[in-house]
Amino acid sequence: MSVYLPRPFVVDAVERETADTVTLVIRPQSGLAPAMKAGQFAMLSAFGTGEVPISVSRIARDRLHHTIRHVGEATRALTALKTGDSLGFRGPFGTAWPLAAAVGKDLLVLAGGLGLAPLRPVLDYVMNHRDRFARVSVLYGTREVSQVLFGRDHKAWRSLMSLRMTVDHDVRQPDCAPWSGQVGVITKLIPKATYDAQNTVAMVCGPEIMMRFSARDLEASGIERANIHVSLERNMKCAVGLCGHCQLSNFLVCRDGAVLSYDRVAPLLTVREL
Amino acid sequence: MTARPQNRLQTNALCAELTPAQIDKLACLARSEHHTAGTFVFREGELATDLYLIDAGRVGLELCSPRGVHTIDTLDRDDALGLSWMYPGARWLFDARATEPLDLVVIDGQRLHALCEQDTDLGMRLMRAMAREVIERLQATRARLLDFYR
Ligand SMILES: Cc1cc2nc3c(=O)[nH]c(=O)nc-3n(C[C@H](O)[C@H](O)[C@H](O)COP(=O)(O)OP(=O)(O)OC[C@H]3O[C@@H](n4cnc5c(N)ncnc54)[C@H](O)[C@@H]3O)c2cc1C
Ligand code: FES
Repeated sequence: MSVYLPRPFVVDAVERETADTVTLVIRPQSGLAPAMKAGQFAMLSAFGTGEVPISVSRIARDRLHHTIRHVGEATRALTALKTGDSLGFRGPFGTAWPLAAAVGKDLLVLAGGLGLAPLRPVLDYVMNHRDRFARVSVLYGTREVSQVLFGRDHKAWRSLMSLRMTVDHDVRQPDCAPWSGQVGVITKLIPKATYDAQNTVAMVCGPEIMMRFSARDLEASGIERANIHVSLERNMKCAVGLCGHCQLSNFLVCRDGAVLSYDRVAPLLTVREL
Repeated sequence: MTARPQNRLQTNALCAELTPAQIDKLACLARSEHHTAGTFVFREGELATDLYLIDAGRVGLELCSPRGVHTIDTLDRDDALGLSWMYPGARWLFDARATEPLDLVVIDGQRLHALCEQDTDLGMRLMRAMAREVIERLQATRARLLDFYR
């Protein structure tokens, strides 16, 4: 099948995550679901509105989960889909989180906001293969408590790894249970995590500034740039390295990324024109 | 059993640059305090007389408004709580409330001022550590102003 031609998929279930974010559980209308790796993305289209890159947020045997935040027209249409609706799927595309490189080492996962979605398949992998890693720490920051994703998974994660959460803003109403996590920027959590910097692989996903600040502090703590991995976002069209929409200097994010090691991209992230 | 103040001060970032003898001097000014979850360590408007170092637990810096209770920041193990003691006569700008059972090492600010003046090397090292703490909190505040999760 042509990589340019969307394959018809059907929505199997819709899980509401927050006021503006849903997870679509999807499967092909016929045939097997494509084999996706943690960190990869697909081009999803609600017919008639446009096609956008969305990371896989859970990889089940015959289903794929994609967590989508409504920010514009295409994501509005996708987040409005109901169980049984059809959508278009192209992919999988892009590079994966380097799970094999983290085996036997400490693993540090830093997620900011929606950035937890592309990292959830990593955590699923850890849950299923916990003995392959040394210490596993998840540091998760969001804007506010109502934006916290995947609350239903947290208990299981906490049973096998350390999960620390922080929000940037917390306003408590008299009738609400108090927030039990921290308040403040995600980088504040880094010194609280236990890891051996010489033997750690870090995976960071979130808004680009959050990734920059986090990668800078991880490096300052002794982790080499080559062992810090980030997931970049750029506008995409073809997703197969032909149109140049996603160009970042000499990289095409759709082909060379979205997951890239920090040593390759660090100098580019502070260039104003890129 | 509670650890001796010397041992508890050694791990705190504010004391990282102090010599063992200087930590001993600081420990002479220190006392321990325990707060149960939900209770206040200090309230907005009270005189800021002491320096608090968190030994265990978590504290929230809170401010009330008609919208509710805003938690401005949380601090936990090995963080310094309250920087205003540096300026005699200053008052706390926030409520500090234990959100978990809280163990503190409390250092009398007035006596700490006197010690810094008498042992200027200790004073310089402590002020440098305080300045680093202030810069880190300023940078964190700037990052939050970017509101990058929107
Ligand atoms: C590799 C990759 C993986 C991605 N994974 C996911 C994912 O798992 N879930 C998800 O929800 N999104 C993801 N995105 C972002 C998603 O592709 C965009 O949000 C989407 O393309 C916006 O299209 P739109 O037509 O809805 O909005 P547009 O009409 O294109 O934009 C509407 C408004 O939203 C702003 N906007 C556009 N993109 C973003 C963004 N990424 N973040 C914040 N504001 C934005 C625009 O500046 C504009 O103001 C990913 C992007 C890439 C490149
Ligand atoms: S989206 Fe076309 S080259 Fe990357």
